[in-house]
Amino acid sequence: MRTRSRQKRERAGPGCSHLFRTMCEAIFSRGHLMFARLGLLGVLTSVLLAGCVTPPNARTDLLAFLETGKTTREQVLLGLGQPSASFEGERIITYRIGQYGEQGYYIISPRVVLPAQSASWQNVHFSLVIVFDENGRLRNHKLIRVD
Amino acid sequence: MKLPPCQSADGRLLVVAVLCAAALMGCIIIPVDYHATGSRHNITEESTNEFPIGVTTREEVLLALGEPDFVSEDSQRFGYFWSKVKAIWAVASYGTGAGGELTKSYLIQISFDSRQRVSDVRLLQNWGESVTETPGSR
Repeated sequence: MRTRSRQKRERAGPGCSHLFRTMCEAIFSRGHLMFARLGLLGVLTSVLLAGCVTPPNARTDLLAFLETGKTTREQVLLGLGQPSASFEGERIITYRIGQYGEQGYYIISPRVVLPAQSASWQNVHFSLVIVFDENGRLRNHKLIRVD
Repeated sequence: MKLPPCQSADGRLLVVAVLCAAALMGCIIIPVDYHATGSRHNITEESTNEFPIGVTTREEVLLALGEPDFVSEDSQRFGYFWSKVKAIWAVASYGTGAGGELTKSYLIQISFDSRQRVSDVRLLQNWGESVTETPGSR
């Protein structure tokens, strides 16, 4: 006579690992049906929505370190990463900036922009233009809204 | 001698009008005016008037418009591109249908001289998703 636990294992299917079998027993067990399904649903929802609701390192103080006459080109490159474009021997560099509500700004990496999308400004809210002087120090910068 | 309606000029015009109306019966065109997906919004046709020739520097252009969409290999020409949807069309007939957008594309081409000053500003525009140079465009 097959016990209830053996019936559960058989229902879970042959060849299941112990962990998967345990999960199957928990899901199909009448006593844990509701909580197990809710928990699994919650985990799956969190995983699926993680990329949607999490801003990519959005910061309100992303550009706070820029000080005219003080900030160097090296500090800008270390703080903001690779620019999306440069001109006049890197005397002028530009970045594409996104904005995530009140959570702040984030850099849209040039590696994310595919060649076919280089002319696309989708999800880009600003173009940051930074100008350096002959000594490599910040002379001027401007955040230009493009959306 | 008076011609029958189908052979007179007015009659032919009437027949053509009726045929066109019948062909377009399942077609709708809605005029709109908004930027296409992925287009920048900060440039208009009037932007060509913002850069006096011989005076404006490349730096001033970048600080005014931002990163250009296209740059020539020698960096002597910038291209700022945007596109707008001008109409939405749809046609339906016997259980099938189709629709789409009518897009107009614009390109401001700014050229610089050896002193890094603006030497030419040109506005190019074309129906569709790409821009080709048209004579007399500015």
